[in-house]
Amino acid sequence: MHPVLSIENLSVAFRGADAEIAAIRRVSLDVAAGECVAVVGESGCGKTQLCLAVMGLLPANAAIGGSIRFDGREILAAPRAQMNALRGARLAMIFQDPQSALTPHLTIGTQMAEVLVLHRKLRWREAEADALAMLRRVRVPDAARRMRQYPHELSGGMRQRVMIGMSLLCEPDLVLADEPTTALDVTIQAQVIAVLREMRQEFRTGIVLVSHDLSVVAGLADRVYVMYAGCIVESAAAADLFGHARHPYTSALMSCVPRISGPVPPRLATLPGQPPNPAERVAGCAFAPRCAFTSERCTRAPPPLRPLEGSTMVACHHPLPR
Amino acid sequence: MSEPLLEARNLRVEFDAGRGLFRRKRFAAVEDLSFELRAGETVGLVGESGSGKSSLARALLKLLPAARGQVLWSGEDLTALSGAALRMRRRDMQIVFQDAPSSLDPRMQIGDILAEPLKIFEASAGARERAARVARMLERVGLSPRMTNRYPHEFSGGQCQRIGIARAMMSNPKLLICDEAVSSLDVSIQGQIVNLLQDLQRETGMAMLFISHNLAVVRQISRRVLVMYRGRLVEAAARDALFAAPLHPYTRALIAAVLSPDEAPARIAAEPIDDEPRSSRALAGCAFRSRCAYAAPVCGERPPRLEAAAEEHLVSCHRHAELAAVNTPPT
Repeated sequence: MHPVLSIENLSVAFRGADAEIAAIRRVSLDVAAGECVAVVGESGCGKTQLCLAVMGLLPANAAIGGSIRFDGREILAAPRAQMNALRGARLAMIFQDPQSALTPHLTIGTQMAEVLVLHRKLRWREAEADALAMLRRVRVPDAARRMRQYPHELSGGMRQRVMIGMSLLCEPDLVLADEPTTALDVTIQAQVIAVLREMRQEFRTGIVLVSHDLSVVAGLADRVYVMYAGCIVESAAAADLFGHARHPYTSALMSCVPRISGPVPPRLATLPGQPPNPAERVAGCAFAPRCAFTSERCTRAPPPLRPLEGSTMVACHHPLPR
Repeated sequence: MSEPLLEARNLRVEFDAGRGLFRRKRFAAVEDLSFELRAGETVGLVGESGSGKSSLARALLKLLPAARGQVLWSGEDLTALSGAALRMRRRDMQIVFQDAPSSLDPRMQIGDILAEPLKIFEASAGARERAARVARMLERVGLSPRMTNRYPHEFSGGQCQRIGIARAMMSNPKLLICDEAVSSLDVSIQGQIVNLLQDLQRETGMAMLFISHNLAVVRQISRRVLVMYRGRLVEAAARDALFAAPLHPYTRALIAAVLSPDEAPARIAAEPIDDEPRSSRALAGCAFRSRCAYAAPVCGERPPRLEAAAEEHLVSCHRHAELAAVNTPPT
């Protein structure tokens, strides 16, 4: 069976005023039906650009190379009409900020039903009934009343559940979730993750979860890709990655997360320095200036992504021992 | 024990909730809330969005009016102050906001943003002294003193938060309120800012009220923790007691919902969520009872009172004694 999403050697660059800015460098990843693949990294590492590239929503000045196949068909340079038919129906995106992703002057019911009227050619009444059923599925309390309300009348957590419900209306093959729980409380976050887990099992929806929150990733992902400065620096099955990070960057990120149990350290671990400026070309490993294990080789040659034991791939000259 | 630096007594903060048939409807964002903050102490404040954390912070600074109750600053009633007297009092109490980039005036250079508190609170300081102190403060928060003529948009989110902290620290406050100050930052930057706040606190001896929905960060920074639910204080305890042995079912639910980066949870505790707006219901009993796994008939009859369950451990739950006895709290 071919994967629902297959990205090969994707590169995205923007032409700036005086330099080319490389947002994504030769990234490859696959998502199978019903699988959740997480893309992790700090702001600016290229994870949102990756989502926009799959959705065909990159701005016109983006130079894109490589291949993105959805359900076996190339969609990278697909005509607008083809993308419009896919988006919302078979390919959906959950944005970080549901406040700005929902239309403020339409009721929840109207904007949800519209999706079904457009893509499934349902009548309004049927579409509204399906939208109501979906709101209940994603555990929006008092769903009938919510249908008649406007986005601003809902709490942030409820808006996010509406967004998730809306993205699942046409039972898409793939959902891209860009920081879906970042703005939410821990209790609502747990709810949203539970809903996404269910939807995945029920509809066999593939999920690309983009997040900087490793705890959320640990709660949902089957496979994790860690991005740094536009490149994938480590990928592994979630079970192999958590607790056994092989790339120093992954390991450093994990140690930065404050824990809810165990002894409280006098200071939190931090990752010194900042990611490189994307407009500058780096000769060696992009992480070398911030890395505790840098050798002379790291500043000279960029490490290729290579397989280690198990499911792990790592781009590092000196991977950490298992 | 010394007099508290800041004390809230039966504080109520209310908002308009639209017009009813005969009169304006009001709902309380903060209701009958009392707590003390001692000099140099760091207190964490947790609760879900809408629980009244930010309204409480704003009422403490008198950025929002108190509908009832008092806020005492070293014994002096702030709710009675206004105008110049209030303004001078605010020199001692500063706030850092969640959305740092939008809390900085986009048309002002960083140097001017940091010099403004000095112009207001220390009018005697000359231009040269101001510039020197701005440069020192920039350096202290980890930014280059050469950045004074740059504008906020030239900085990253983490850098903007350092500027927000620097601005708050310019007047040497005795209390710093951090309202979700690290919530929108990357985890790598979040640790840097938390460490900076802890260092500043140790150096200056200021008190801190650290508001966050991130319980792990609150655990790192706080000596004591307050838990709010629907405008009320439901539990208050020393940090270790609260996290090791929470008494209120809501606190337990909050702690249980925190995910760990070390393991995938087999099951996610998805307890029923009820985020109805508060104005739409009149509650006779405990506000948490509709979500509570331990609700009993008494919980619907009268609201529980905040009472001492142990030394320095307050809880507002009818059943806390029974629950403490029968349950092993999450570890």
